[in-house]
Amino acid sequence: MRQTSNYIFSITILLFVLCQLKPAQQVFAQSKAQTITVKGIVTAPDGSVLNGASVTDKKTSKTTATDAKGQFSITVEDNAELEFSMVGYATQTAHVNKRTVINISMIENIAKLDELVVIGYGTKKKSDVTGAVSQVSMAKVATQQSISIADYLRGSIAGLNVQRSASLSGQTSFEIRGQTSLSASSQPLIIVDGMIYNGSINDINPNDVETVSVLKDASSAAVYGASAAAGVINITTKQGKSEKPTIRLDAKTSVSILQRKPEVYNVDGYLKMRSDKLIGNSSINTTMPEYYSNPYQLQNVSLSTWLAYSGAPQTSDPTEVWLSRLNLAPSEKMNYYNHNSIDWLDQVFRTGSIQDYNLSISGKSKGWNYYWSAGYLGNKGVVVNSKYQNIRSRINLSNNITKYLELGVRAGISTTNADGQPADWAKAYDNSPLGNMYNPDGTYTWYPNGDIIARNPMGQTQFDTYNRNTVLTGSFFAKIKLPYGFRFESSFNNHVQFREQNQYRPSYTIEGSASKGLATRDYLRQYDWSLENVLYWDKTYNNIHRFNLTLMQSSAKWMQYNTTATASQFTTSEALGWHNLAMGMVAANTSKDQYDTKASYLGRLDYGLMDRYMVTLTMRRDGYSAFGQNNPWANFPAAAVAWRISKENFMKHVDWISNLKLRASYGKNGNSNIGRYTALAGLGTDYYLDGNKQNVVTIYPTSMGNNTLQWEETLASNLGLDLGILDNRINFTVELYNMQTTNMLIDRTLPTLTGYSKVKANLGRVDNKGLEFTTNTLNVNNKNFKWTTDITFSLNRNNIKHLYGNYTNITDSAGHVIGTQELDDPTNGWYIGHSIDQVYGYNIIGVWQTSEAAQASALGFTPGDYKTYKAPGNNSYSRSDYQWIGYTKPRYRIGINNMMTIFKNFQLQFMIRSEWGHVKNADELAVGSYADRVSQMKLPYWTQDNNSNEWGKLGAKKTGSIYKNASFVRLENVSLSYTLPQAWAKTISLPEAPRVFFNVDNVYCWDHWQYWDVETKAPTPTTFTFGINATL
Amino acid sequence: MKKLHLYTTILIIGLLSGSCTKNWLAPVDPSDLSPDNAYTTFGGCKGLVTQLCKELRPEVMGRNSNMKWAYEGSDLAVLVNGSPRNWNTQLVPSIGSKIKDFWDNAYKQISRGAMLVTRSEKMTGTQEQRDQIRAYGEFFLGYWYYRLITTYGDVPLITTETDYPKLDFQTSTKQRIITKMIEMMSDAVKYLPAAAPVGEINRAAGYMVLSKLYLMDGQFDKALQTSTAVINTPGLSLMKSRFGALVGTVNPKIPNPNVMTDLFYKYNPSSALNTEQILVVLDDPYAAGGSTTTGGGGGGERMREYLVEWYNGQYDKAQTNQVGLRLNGTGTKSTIDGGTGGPGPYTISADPTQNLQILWTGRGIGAQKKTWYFTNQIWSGAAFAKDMRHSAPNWYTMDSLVYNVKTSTLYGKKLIKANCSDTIRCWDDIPYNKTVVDDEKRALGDFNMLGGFQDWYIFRLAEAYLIRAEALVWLGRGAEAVSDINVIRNRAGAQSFAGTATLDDVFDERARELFLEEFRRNEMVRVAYTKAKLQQDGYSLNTLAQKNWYYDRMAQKNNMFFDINAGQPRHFAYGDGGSNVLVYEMSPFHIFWPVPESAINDNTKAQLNQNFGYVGYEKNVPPIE
Repeated sequence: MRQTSNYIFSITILLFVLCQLKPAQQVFAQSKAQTITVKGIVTAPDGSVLNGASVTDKKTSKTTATDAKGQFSITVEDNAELEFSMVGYATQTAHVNKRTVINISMIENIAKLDELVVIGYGTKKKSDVTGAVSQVSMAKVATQQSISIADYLRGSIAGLNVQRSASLSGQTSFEIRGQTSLSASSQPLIIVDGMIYNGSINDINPNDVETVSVLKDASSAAVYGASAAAGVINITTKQGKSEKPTIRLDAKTSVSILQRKPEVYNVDGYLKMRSDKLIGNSSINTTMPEYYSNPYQLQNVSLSTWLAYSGAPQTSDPTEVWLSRLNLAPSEKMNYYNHNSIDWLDQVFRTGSIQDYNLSISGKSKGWNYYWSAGYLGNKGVVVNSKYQNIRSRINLSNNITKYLELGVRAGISTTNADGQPADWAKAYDNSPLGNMYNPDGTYTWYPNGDIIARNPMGQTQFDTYNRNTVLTGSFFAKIKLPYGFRFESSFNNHVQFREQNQYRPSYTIEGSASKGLATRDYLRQYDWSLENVLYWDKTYNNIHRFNLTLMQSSAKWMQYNTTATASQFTTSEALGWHNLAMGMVAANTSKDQYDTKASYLGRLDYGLMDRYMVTLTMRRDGYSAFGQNNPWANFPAAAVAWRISKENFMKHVDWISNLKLRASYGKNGNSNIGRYTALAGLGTDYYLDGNKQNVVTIYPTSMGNNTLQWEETLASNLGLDLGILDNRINFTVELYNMQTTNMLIDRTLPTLTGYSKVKANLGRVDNKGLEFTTNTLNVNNKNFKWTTDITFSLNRNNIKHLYGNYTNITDSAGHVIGTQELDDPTNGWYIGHSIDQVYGYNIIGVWQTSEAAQASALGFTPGDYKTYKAPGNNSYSRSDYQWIGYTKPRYRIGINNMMTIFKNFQLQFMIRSEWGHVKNADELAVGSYADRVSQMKLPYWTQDNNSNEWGKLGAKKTGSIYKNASFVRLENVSLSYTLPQAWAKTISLPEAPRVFFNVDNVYCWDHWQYWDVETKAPTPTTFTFGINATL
Repeated sequence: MKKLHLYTTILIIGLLSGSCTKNWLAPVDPSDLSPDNAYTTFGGCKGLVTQLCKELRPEVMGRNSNMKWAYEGSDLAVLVNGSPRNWNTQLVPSIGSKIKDFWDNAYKQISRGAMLVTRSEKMTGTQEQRDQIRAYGEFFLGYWYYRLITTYGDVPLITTETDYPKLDFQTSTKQRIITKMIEMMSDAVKYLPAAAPVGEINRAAGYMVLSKLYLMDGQFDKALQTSTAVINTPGLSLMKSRFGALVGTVNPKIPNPNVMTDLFYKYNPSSALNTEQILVVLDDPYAAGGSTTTGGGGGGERMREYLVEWYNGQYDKAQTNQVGLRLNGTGTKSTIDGGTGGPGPYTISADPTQNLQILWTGRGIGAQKKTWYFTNQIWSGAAFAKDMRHSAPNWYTMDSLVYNVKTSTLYGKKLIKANCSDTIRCWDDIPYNKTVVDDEKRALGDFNMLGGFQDWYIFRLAEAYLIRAEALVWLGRGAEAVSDINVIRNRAGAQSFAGTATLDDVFDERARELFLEEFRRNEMVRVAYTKAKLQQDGYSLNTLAQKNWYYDRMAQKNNMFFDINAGQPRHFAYGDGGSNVLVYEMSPFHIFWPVPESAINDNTKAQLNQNFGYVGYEKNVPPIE
């Protein structure tokens, strides 16, 4: 709390300074007024006319709107003040000052204070929001190519962390602010059209999404209570907007090229590597120089001396002697003689492609509002045989049956095909360039150079894989208008998933050989429903007191049914694979069904006084079957206040400040991801024998129940400041937050007297605090050049305060107890007073050099091995040599998005994203343990001639793990689009001009990581997309 | 206003439609068993009973079994490999290994026994079934508490299910536990089945536990009754003639078997012909319920655990001439356990590359050394000259083996003790019938022969005779006890003895008959407690940790810890080199093992007591009486 008061103090100072600014203009002198008619045209910054802009006489509140030609006409007093406003544009004021014609060019309002923000159980004008809520419109990213919604959001919201993913199906996980739990999931809750969504984000087509809002603070998330501690992502799908049907086509086609990949050795490099490995530390180079060298390139010894090294007859083939010394396999030698070699990267990587087509029809007429879409996404990855496809369709339909009753449905279907069984690209690096991809009979070899360490990367492409997923969602709702400002909404929401994961591993593959063919069928059906009743009351008294009351009651049930059947020993025929398990001689079946139930109540009161002071009070009560049955209910209160300082009279004359709002919130959220059955006592089954030595099933307790188990609890405060300067051309938002998570679900050690050694219990505390900073600026706003920049910056600091509550004595040098200290959990890497992601361990600080041979040897190392930090005075490595190595999560994250409109029709957009201050495990770079048997990634390893202090020798020993700086700056994408001329569009009867665009995703990444992509540690291509957005 | 009614109705219906009862939030876990759905029927509870039977396995089988630890530190053997050897310095509360594992495991079994007792009340089924489940629960409580209080002394008493994270256990006195267990076992024997399939618990097994509890409590007349009840159980009788799997077959490794061979041959404890078995643990190399798949490491590992390291320490030269040879490697080793080697005593394989001797004996590691009392004193005298238990093919001395390194000057000759460099680890008798177990799953060429699968006794009728004999001795009817002892002796071919039996006679006979069947240390502690309780021979409960029969018997019988003639500590130092030399030392308070430090620390809300002599004892609070 002390920190919070610090924030308040700084902001008070800021306000004080602002208030000292003097009015810049004199108020006009009043004179006697006459009535006149004012006409004019309202235009957009690009010169096009604006239809529907409202023109209001500030004194009389008389209002009119512009017509299709942007024209208006209004009769007012000749000294009146007219206010011009339109959604998306800054409100402007003009003094009539006896003029009869007033033409206004509106300025785009990038602050979007009038925009409706989805807050959970309703929407709110952005200017009225009291919590920390960020919203992005998906229209903004229409010229980009990504796979999942998460990918489209990357970098655009401060505090919403989306990592780049190497998966063909895109990124499916988010993190909001920091890690608030040690063992429960930190995935945010996903809401789609107001309903909790228990599915994968991939089943929602990004093209169907209108806006995504992120509820970050405790108060705004509190409406979702026990599920909200990790934040909430609110997805709103599209609806019909105009009377005229809108038919929209978005088509994109891309090629994916793997620009960044570690190299493999060619034949010469491979033989050199082998030789380097075999020489190792031996003295062979002094006793028998060039022992492993190519006999035809000997420098200092004669061929006969060289041959005599190994007692080979002088008549022998030197090449054969050489290759034998290098321990090549017979097949490798054969390929060497025949000049056959293989580049394994060519075998496993290819140019990928993405097809992304979407069609939608929407509109509204005669009480109907409709939106229908169909989309196809096909992603052929850069790894050979990888494939991901989905087909998604959605229908949003509603009808105002009567004035007071609206009925509707929102339904979607998503079918996914991930049958592709990609090549095992990592194995490409293990394989010898002299290996054989195929057997003489044309089948894939198991081990291309005969060594079991290096499997054929193509082997698993022979699996017959069937991986399909179908998801149906359907939400049926009724909205009833009631008297006295009440509204009632009831909805019934369904989510059904069918997932089939079947595979056959033929007996001629390594994986299927032992079982003589292995077939698996895994079928999962999930069904969950929820029923929600919400009563709203909206009332404004005297334009001063605004009340919004929300009361909600809901219940939900989640069910999952999973059956797995496997069969092996397909000795008769393998022809039918997983389609006929009965062909296998040995079968095994398992099944697992799970249920959970929830019930919730919510009350929320919003109160606004004169558009200046706003209060939100929330109380949610959640019941969940996963909580211990002693008390399955939990309460989650929260409160928030906001003060629109810029609306105060004393701010009226501070012209350069167009918006200033201070927000503060405090509340409690829960994390109910504690495991569906964690609170229950568990039993296991085993076998014993009867007297005839036949198996008998036994049942025995495996875990103790905990009837008092509760949700994890996060208490969070948030302090926010919104500032708009110069007609909101420059907007800042700063959020400061502090979160304390307690009651974390961890294993409590039990006296074994209970029969158990541990039980899941609510213990410990983790704190997160952080800062988020967002700016939107309209840098240039000319007729031919408009440039906006959005910058997001965030940092989060995380600290484990308590764990299990086990204490140990602290003693002074004389052995007297001078205090106690809570015990860390080194097994999990959790240390009191440190971050969850902070790494503590042996610190590799370099490589032992030849000059340090004696020191290295004393510790059991030789030159070329990795050198680990050792505290002075220690003779061998022990825990006392541990050091704090770094953080595995970025210390700072920044995203910069620029949008430039040039000559009206050209638009250039690019995003730069950077994360820095963190390290990543890079143990994969300690290579070469088996370099005398197989190949490996090409790296500048340490040798006698290359005394690297970064790379160890081939097969270098090490104590501890290699961590490398993982900071990066990435040019996420560059997109250039061209909107065809309106006139041209008209000639072919298009209502709007189509837009064509070219986008490059993952353009370039600057980092210190000499390996795969720093974020994914896997093949991550650059994608070049050509696309078109057209309205038909 | 009509419309308003409509709205109100809709509203009320809407709100009611989702309203919940408490039942709504009750968790449903349809695919997992829980105590509340599995332990509600006789079959479900029986599933736990079967698991409890299975978990008797570590008592007598596998690597580092409880049985092994009950011998090391008794009058019959000491630990050689590893620690603790010097108990004064090494047997401490923070020690891991068996001290902690046995505690944890025993309480796991107790918690399950207690669960059965509690669940039997709520279980559906007939009264008879409920009584039987309770009786099973009580049996395992009785069995494990007897083992616990004779290992750790005062411990917490738990007789009902613990279904919440309890952190405030308190220590009870041994007497309170004995009294409670006698009460529970007296109930159990009423309802345990009179006869049960092999491997399961029957009434006689209940009487065995009850008899020991009565003996410990000093209720010797009751012990006499209950042990008589075991002996008189219909269908139970001592095996006096040959039976089982070896009958009618020729096993070249076991020439001329007799009934004492048959009784312990790997398949025979569970044989339908075996009328002597009361409770047996079962194993099988091929079934999922065998030890192949769960725990134990597979098989019994008898050879590894109990056999001498015969292949080491045997040299061409006499010991005096080859001091240090084993260490510096300059001596000529004359026995070998590897893939090639010389002859064994019997022709069992035509394959000349196989080391015959190892096929015959297996590859012991000399983990424990038997005392002189066990290998020599109790067998001395003409009465035991023809004792089947101490002669081939059931018992061999080391000179039954020969030097098998072909280059050795002594090749093919019998081993000579004077040439053995380490007579602790490498020179010991071989109780063949109880320790050598073939492994049918051994791969040809795998000479790391640890010992295979077998069934084994927890209780055998012979012990009931010796319990009754002991009860009679305690009652002052030593003359009558002689006949019970002679029943056992005569069956084994030893001669009867006449006169009045003493406690020593009973313990000598137990040693001869029950090797690897009795938890020797626990039986000694039992007697020590009883003597102290009855204040015999100057012992008393108040000074149990300072002066007790267990320690005094160790001083007379265990020649590794003590100079047994003088009854004084011997301070014998043994080790395999400079750094690993340890002195065998113990103190009277070692009658009980320390309560594991973790058990005391994890019980955060109450003080659990430590035994006298160990660190932490000073924090003790008075135990529950």
